[in-house]
Amino acid sequence: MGKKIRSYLFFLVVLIALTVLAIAWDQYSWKRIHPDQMVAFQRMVGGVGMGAISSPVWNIINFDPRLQPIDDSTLWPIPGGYSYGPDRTATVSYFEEIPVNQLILQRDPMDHLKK
Amino acid sequence: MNRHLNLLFTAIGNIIRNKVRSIVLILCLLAVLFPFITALSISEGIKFQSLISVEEGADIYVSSDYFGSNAPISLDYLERFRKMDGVTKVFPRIVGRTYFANRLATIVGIFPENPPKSIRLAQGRMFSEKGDVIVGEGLAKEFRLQPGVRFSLSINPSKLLKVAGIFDSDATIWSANLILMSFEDASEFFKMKGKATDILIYTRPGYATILSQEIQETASASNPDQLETSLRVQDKTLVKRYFQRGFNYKAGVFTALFTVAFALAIPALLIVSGFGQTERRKEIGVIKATGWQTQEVMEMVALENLIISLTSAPLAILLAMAWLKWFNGAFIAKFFIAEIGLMAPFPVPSRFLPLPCLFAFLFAIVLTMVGSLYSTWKTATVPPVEAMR
Repeated sequence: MGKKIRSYLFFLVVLIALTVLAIAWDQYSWKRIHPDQMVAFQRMVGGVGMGAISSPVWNIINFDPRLQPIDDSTLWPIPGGYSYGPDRTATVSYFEEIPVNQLILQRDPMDHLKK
Repeated sequence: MNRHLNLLFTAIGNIIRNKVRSIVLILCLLAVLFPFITALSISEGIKFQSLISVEEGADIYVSSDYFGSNAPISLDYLERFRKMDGVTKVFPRIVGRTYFANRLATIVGIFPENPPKSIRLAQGRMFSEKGDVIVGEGLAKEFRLQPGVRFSLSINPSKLLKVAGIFDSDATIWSANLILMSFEDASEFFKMKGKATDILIYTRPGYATILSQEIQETASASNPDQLETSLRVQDKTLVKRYFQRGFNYKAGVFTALFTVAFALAIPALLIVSGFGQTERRKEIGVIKATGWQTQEVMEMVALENLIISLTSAPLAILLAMAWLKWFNGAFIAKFFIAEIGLMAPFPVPSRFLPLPCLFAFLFAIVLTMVGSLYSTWKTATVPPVEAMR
């Protein structure tokens, strides 16, 4: 095994060890530092914000579907056009309306008489 | 075992000897993996903050339903909800939006008794007097707001507000452009007395679903002559569904874009890894002439790919981490968090979980293997004389 090969192997081991340590440090920092302020803030406001956008631009559903679960961008009058909501670009979150069954079928009370 | 070790050392030797080819290959992999790791880590960071928002939020959110959209709800409902069995706490909230100069801000109005003692502000204090507001750090930095600054906004110019404090930048991305005030101030500001955006209900464990059904049924069964509006009831189970669907990568356009990029990267790498192909053909021809088996040639190339992937994936992870943590994702975060500009006004949340990092390595290995194994096998199976020609 030549000197260059040994050096490359050493570099590789150091690189992998550094990466593992960096990931472990990141995990630790999230557990220890950040959550307390986030929890206090969200508890205070009753939960505000869910999506990858910092203010309710375009559609409120992108910011927080609890505030407005309606995706009104689909109603915009751009026939065959592009929908300009930020969730149509490359953001990492995308909230869509969850369909709620609002249909109530009722039997005609005169049905049995007709028969 | 010795044979495999020798093949590994030969593979490393090849990587060192073909410096240009190896560097080009590592740079190509970095170009593919860096945005992938950045997006996944930002997504995980936001997901983490979003989960806190869901878990620490109310168990049930009730608002009015006007023409199929959420609408303000009357405060008369407060007493009705408070009397329900299983309810522990009920409070109204106002969430609205307004422009602060050219920046869109979220206005939140809450009852003054809500702020927990543990909340830490970057500057100033929590609101205590009428007109006091706490502003997000993004707004404060952009407009140089300090505690004591008085302002009014065009939506209600007669309502004078005073900055009492500034949120700490650690308090989620949604606090950056937020203006927090008392419920009373928010109703005066929006001129909506006796109304709230939604009523937040906290329940004893296990009661949320039953209570939300009860509220919905009571609202539906109310006397039609009373002209009471319909209610929209959202419980935590539904909110968790929003969360799960909202962060499902399959639903995001990002995944589609990345899949296209990934699909294009394979043929691109096929070409790139063919960089120095003539030299590689001759090499294979020589080693085959000296008695190497096709299987050994393939193993050596696979080991080369493994070493290249083991170099590229950690480099991409470290680069993404450095960019996000030290430079706050400058220029790149805006592609994954909408409407933040080149420099985010808040710490860009990013979490580097082991699984996405492992995926990055697997991506790298798949790309390099796809790009080289077939061409190597094709060269290794022709007679050495022809390969060396």
